[in-house]
Amino acid sequence: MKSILALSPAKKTAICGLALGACIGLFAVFLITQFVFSEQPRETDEHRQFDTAVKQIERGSNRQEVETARELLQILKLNDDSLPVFERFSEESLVGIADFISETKQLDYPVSSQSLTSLLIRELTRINPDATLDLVPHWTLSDGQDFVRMVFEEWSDTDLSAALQATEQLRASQWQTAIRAILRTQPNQSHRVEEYAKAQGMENKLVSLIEENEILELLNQRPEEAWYAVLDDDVSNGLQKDLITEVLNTWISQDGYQVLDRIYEFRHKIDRFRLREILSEVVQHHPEEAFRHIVTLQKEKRDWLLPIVLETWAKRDPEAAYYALESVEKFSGRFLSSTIVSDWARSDPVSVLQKLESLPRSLREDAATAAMSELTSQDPQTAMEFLSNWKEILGVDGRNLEKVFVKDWARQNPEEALTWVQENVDEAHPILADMVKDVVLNIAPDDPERALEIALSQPSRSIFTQVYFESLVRTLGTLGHIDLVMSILDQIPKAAELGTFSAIAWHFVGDERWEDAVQLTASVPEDLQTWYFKRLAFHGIQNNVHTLIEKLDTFPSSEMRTTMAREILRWHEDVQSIVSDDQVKHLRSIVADSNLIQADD
Amino acid sequence: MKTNLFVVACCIGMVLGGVAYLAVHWSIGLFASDPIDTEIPVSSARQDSKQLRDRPVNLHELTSEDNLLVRNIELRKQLVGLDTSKLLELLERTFELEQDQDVTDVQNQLIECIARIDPAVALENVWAFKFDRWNGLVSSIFTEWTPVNLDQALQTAATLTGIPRRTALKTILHSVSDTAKVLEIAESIGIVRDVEFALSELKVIQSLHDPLRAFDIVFSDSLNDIEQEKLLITVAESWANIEGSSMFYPLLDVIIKRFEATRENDRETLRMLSNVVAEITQYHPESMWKLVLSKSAEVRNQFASSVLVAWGRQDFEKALTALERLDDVELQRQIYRSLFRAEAIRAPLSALNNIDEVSIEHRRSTIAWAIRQLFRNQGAQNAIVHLTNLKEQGENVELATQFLIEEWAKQDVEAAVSWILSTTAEDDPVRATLLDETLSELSLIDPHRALALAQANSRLTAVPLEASVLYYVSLQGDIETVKGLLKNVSKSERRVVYQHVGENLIYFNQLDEAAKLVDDLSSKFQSEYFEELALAWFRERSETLVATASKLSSENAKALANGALRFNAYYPRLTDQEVAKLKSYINDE
Repeated sequence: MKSILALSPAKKTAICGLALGACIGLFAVFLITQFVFSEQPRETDEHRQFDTAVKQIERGSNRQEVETARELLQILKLNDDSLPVFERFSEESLVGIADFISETKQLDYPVSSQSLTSLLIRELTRINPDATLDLVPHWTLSDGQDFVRMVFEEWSDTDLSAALQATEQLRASQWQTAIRAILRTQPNQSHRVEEYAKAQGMENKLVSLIEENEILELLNQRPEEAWYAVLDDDVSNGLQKDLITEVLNTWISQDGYQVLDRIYEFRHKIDRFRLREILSEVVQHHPEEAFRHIVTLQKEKRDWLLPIVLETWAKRDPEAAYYALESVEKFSGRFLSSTIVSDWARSDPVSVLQKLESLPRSLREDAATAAMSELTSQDPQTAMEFLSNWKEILGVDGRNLEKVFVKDWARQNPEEALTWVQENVDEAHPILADMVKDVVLNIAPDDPERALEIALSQPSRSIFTQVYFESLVRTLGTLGHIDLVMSILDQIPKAAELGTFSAIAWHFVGDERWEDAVQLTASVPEDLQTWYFKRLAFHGIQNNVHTLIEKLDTFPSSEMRTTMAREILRWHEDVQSIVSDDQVKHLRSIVADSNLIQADD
Repeated sequence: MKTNLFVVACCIGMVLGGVAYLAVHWSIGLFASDPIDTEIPVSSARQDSKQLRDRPVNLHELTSEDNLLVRNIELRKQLVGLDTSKLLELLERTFELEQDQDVTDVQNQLIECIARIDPAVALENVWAFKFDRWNGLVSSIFTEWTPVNLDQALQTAATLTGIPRRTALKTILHSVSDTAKVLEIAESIGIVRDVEFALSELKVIQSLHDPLRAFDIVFSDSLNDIEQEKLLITVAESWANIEGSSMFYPLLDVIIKRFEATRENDRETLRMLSNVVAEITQYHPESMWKLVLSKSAEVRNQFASSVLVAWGRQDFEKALTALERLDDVELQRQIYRSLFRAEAIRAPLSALNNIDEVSIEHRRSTIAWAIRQLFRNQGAQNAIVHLTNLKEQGENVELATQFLIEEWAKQDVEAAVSWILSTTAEDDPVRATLLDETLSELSLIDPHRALALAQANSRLTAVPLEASVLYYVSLQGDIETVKGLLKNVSKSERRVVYQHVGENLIYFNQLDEAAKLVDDLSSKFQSEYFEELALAWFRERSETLVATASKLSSENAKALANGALRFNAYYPRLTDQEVAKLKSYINDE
């Protein structure tokens, strides 16, 4: 202190100035730093990087924005057409995302592509949900439902009203996905969802989604209660098949296959076919395990469940299912055995044919037939070789096996099948008719003339001509070749006349070619005329009875009019009310006129 | 001069003061090593995570971080290096927080981290989450698991069921470059079909932008019809979502092509094709209906019903109007039945309230389906109330009553029987018809009462009620109970009853029991029994006929041989030696 006092006045002045200046300087810098740090929050690394990046982009790096968009396309598996959608996101936000992606790459453990995709979609939704939703059609990873779900999970969290409004533009299946996502992420806002759904006229669909949501709430903790709930709700079980299946799957995964024991008690709650479908689905992955449990159950439950489990098992491993069935005692499994053996034959025809003699006689026919059909579909030449070896086995009807062989071969190559038939089947054997029918019906679509030629070459008294010629005419008519049949009317064998005229009449009436139907009368033999009018009436009634009544007066022959009027009245009175009172009066007058004419004569 | 000097000194002082402050502040900051205030370049993230490793993870703080991406990075850094028990502890703590999207994020990452260390433990913990989270979590676990141990991942996937199983398999296939290896392991553990389906599903999903190719994939694979149906619907829905109803034309062409290549007895495939058309119809029913009508009669017959029933679910009146315009009476009649049935099941109360608007022809079945659905939805008492209100419908409610009893008997047969007995007169033939519906269930729980009821009411019907009871009881395989009941069977039904029981014993392969069943009865009855049983014996156990006949009396052997040889003439199943032996029983006479 003394030394300071001893200084010269100039030095004193300088020291005082310096000291004051230092104080002011310290205070000023203190104030500045305090001001600066209190204004700027404690930044995280990411914020600083974002700022850096923002500055970079502010320097005009539009190129980076495009690069980020391209990187996003790659990560999110979007197609190139989606690039313009990214113009709707701010540069700043895209750069922020780019930075995030860059940083995730440098983490000790990389972020899985699934998590990264989810995060990015959600972040994009936060930034611009409308634009993000427009990316859905460009997603190549799946059908877009997952994308829609992620968008609406996030959107409903940030702006429920906007999210609900956006559901209006969605198609049915996406609408369901979006509403499901909203209901699950916003469980307390279901009333708002209901309001919107009502406004969109979708309240019916919403009911099932709300009930589904309630059931899913129960599912992981109390699957049994979920099962009760799903069967007791107001939604048709037919529309909830997937949900019911998943409830049961979950219940089984928690409590094992013993739950099947309980399912039996619910037979009255659900359509039996639906329940079978559901049970098939839930046992399909471990049928042998389900089987082991089921054979220990009370007989009525066992017998009810066994067919379901074994049929399902047979779809995966029919041989194992067959031998499992054989091991069950006191079980009436005749039809089931047949089904399973047929499944087995279809899945491995050669093996089954080779084991045919080891099967019970009662099953050999079914097994051989199914195997032959499958083998022929796969390779007709191999099937032909097997045919000669296996048709003599006891319990197998060799001719039936040949019939199956021809039927399946004719589907692939009818001409070759025909040649085989001509060389191998006795003309007198009744089965020949079935084989020729299969051949001509398969030739008809490609070569109708050839089909008719083969049909006409059959003996006039053959079973084919008497029974199946009509089938060919009907098929040709359906294929649009009825006029071809008309051109060879004079060649139709007598035994096929009835069927042919009936089939032609059916087509004429179906196509409303009433004039042609009337003209055909001239070609119909005298003794068949009344019968022909009745056929016309029958087809007319089936097709459009009102048109028929309108046409009645235009028919030239009184017999034709009267016969048809009588037929319509008979049908109306004996079978089903099909005409009005006025029409009845009109029809009766036609019949009465005819009676008068007959009386006059 | 002094003033100037003071000002200069003051300025220098200010500069020095400022510099000194900054120097002190900087040095304090440096020693304090506050990482948050330290400017960390992006490349220093690894250092960062090491520093964060030992810090307790503050879940509240993390979940309250608004920026999704920032939060994610921050959490990832904090979780690195934690062991499974610590991660599980954190996971446990997340369940105490209010569950929202932010907590969901944290939980997803925790499971991912656990899966990286021990995927089996991660999987065990998935089931504690709500069901709708399983799919995503399973996928995340198997994404981590597959590259580390494919074999184990696949074996674990095979133990799962339902959606988690499908998700696991798809994730595995998605995560590997060589699917052949997956198929090889799948073959060894017997899940090759599941893997093939998952593979097809992935291929199909990747081809959704080209629906025709996706359809080809589905049809060319060896998938069963149910699997194909699911994939076809996925493709068709995706297609419809993009192109709307204009895709109906090419879609129907694909379906028709498949339909034409399907054998007429392949009902499952035909049903599958119809289901796909029905599913897609919802996008624009009217367009689909017009399109189907423009196709051939075969196509129309196959798909018309599916289209109108699907349309009816959306707008029953419009579907009905469209059906009324259909000019094919037979097809129209079939679809009427399906349409009214679907509507009665969908909205039973509405169907009953508007029953007078239903044509007389379809009223009976509509009431029946609606009542059955009401029973399922609301129970027997409510269904009965509705049934009673329909009395003016006369005969139209009979079928509904039968439907009700049939279902009710499965739930509570005693109650159903009591209701029948209390609501029908003793001489009412309807009583017998309804009781017949209960006999299969009553025979299981009280066979003696079932037989007594059958006997008391058999005069009201031509249906052999006692035979029904014995048929159901013998299906249970309890031969002693059957024998006890047989003693009380009335004479008029005895032949049918013995035949039913005998056939069931043959089906059960209890051949000695079947042969001995009539030991105590007259020889004439015994012969008739064996002759009538010959068909079942021949059809089911022809190998045993000769051995069985050898144990029977000559009369009974002859009866059995007679019947069997008659059938063998049409459907040869016996060897020449067997035929000769059986003929010897006839000729010995």
